[in-house]
Amino acid sequence: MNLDKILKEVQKPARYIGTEYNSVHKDLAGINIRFAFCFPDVYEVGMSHLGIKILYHLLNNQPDIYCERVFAPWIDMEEKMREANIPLFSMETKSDIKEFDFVGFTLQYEMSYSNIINMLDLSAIPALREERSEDMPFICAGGPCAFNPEPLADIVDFFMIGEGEEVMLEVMDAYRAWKGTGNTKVGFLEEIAKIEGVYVPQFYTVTYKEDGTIDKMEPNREGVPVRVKKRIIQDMDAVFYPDNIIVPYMETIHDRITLELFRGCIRGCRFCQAGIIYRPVRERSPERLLELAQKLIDNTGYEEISMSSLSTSDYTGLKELTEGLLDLTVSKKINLSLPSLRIDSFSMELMQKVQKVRKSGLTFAPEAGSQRLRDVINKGVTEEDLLRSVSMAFAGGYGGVKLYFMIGLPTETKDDVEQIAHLAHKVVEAYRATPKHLRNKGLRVTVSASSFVPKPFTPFQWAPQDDIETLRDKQHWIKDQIHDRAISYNWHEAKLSVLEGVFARGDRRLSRVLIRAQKLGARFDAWHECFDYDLWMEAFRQEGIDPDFYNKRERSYEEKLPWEVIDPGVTREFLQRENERAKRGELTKNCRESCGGCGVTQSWGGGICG
Amino acid sequence: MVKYRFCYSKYGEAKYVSHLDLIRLFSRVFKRAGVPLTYSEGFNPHAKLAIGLPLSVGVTSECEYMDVETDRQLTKADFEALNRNMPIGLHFNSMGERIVTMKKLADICYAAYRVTVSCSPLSSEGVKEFCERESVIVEKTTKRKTEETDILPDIAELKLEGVTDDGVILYMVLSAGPSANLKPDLVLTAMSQYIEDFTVLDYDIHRVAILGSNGKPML
Repeated sequence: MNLDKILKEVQKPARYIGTEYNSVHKDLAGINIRFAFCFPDVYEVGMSHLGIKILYHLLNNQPDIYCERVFAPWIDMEEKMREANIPLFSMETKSDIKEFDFVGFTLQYEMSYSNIINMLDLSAIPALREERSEDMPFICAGGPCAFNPEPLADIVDFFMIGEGEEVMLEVMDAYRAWKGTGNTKVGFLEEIAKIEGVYVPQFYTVTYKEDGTIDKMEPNREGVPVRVKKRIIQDMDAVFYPDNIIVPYMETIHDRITLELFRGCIRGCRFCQAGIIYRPVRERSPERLLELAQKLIDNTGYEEISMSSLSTSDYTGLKELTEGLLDLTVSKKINLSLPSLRIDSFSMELMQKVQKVRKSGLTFAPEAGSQRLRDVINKGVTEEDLLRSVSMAFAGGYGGVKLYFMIGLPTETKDDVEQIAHLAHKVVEAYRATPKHLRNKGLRVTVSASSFVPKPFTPFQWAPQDDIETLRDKQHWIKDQIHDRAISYNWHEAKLSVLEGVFARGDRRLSRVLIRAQKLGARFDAWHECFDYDLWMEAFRQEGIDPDFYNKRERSYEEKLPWEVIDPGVTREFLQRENERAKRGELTKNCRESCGGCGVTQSWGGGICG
Repeated sequence: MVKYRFCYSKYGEAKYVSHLDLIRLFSRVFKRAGVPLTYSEGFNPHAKLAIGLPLSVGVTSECEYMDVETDRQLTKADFEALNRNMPIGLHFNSMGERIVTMKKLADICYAAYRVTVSCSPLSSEGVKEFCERESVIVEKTTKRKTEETDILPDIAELKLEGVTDDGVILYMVLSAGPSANLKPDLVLTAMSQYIEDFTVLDYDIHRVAILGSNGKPML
């Protein structure tokens, strides 16, 4: 294929070359299993994702497996590829993805689903499973959105639920045993359906009631679990973590070393899916992290290292770790960055240490404007906490503060929404109250309001989602209350959030809508320049499906939910209890203060979380 | 603090790495190799590293120059370590300490290119006639405006070096550097404009040399 010719004609050709430092290049002659690890977005987004870095090197550490990366070509490249009949290709060997044994997609956000269909289409792989022949690769998927696999149930052959480090290798073992036996693809799927964490949607039959809700969802053959339990890694120090990650040529979104401190989160924010599905909390030791940091610094030459976890400041060894990291980084002119700090545990000391290297802006996520609503969502943060933290930050010379909020949360009133603007004004006042000789000359308060999308396996999984008009009204209520030029305000496209809501809690009838939407031209829906809401509505119409069914109604506790074929380890009783507490505005303590009885410790043989 | 000049080549897929990305890439290569670059003082310290003449994306080269400052004297072992830490497609050819007599990179005046063109047949005479014109006026588009310029004074040398199955190989020496800079693409555009029946389908550009005002390489 004449790739070279088209690369001269597209923007950012570095997106499509696969020779970056630490990329893996193997002789295909010695390879038994070829795995195409696909990220359904552009290179610079996909290469920022930690999961791909871990699993790419994990698979490539197996001598007979060659895992290559595949990204969605940007629209200019796609056009050229279609013109020149170039199929979707892997980065490393530029092979057609059809030549692989496995084509695996990571599901990070629902609005990337149309890219999955489009990527398959580029290599002429039918999206609908039943239309694929025996000689085509297995299509598999994993990642957080796989916790509701159903919208992709007619497309994907099998899902791996939860953390992938162990289950992927078990699936590869099963494939070595199956390959060359002459057994059918279904035969292989029957084998791996026995592996904990593997979900094969075609082995389940779904029947519906007259009102459209699920009547029954049951295995249709022997040896298939009624519910598929997610996989977790028990020992975070022993599990594989790459020490030689790829260093991209072009700048990616997160272009730095990422140290994953722990998995899970002790906070029980009721809107947060990650906070539930990654339970229980499991930490890496500071010793292991420092060892990894040293190797990653040596092997990549990166100039920045970031600590990453759901709530980094809850890491028990944070002091020891940051001191150790500063020893490794300061002399080498490496920046240390601290994302997702919680404001209630914000530490001035830590902030000043990091500041020794670089002073960047600070981000806080109060999520809701009023105390009442913050209690509803169990965000155990008060206005005093926030103002104390920003005052400290201003006194420390920080001038940029970002505040993240959500609109459309359950029980939200006009007053709750307007409090968002009022809180931003109080932050400005805190700056003005800071002595002039301490504070930064310029002040920038950025208020960002995203729209709440109810997610599976959260206490709000039964809640209706605000419609487009309501979300727009709320966006304007905030805007009308902002009267200070130091505050800049931005919000998300409501139509996109509503569509995300449909697929987040969708069922397998949506597979055909996805396929239809791609035929109508949908791709890169998360990119505002590509998103076309009317196209999606046309796809729903053509498939005879009402999107409102999925997000406008309140689901009853009696309803069988499509994603309950997956078992995240946290019980339905806990989620239900939390939902009721939310309605009463009752806080639930974090896991370290008091066990909330979510059930996850029972799922893995007891023991104390985190 | 010691000053060094490196000569490096860029080939294969690495030709799609942009100028800005390359600067970041080299500073990471030095970090990986354990060769300490000198950093500037101040609020946002950056490594003292400068590339002589930006190479267009998509162009290969065997003779690019980069000046750096390091905290200590470099050895042959350092040079080898640097090359071990380069990604596929980038390679340091040589290294030299910058002594007072060495020309500054700002002294770059010319660049020589070998351009493999897939095109309609072209003869040496055609090229010769093109070079003997009184002027070669083309539209040159810069960030701000489009204007007509005569590029002939910036063509120091242009010759047909060989013939291939589907075209020709051209060798050209063009003005390069801070005062005047002519890209081979524009020469091809001009040739297809002024040489009768000459049409270009595709081309690959390779930079062969970068020369100073004295017509000699920079290292």
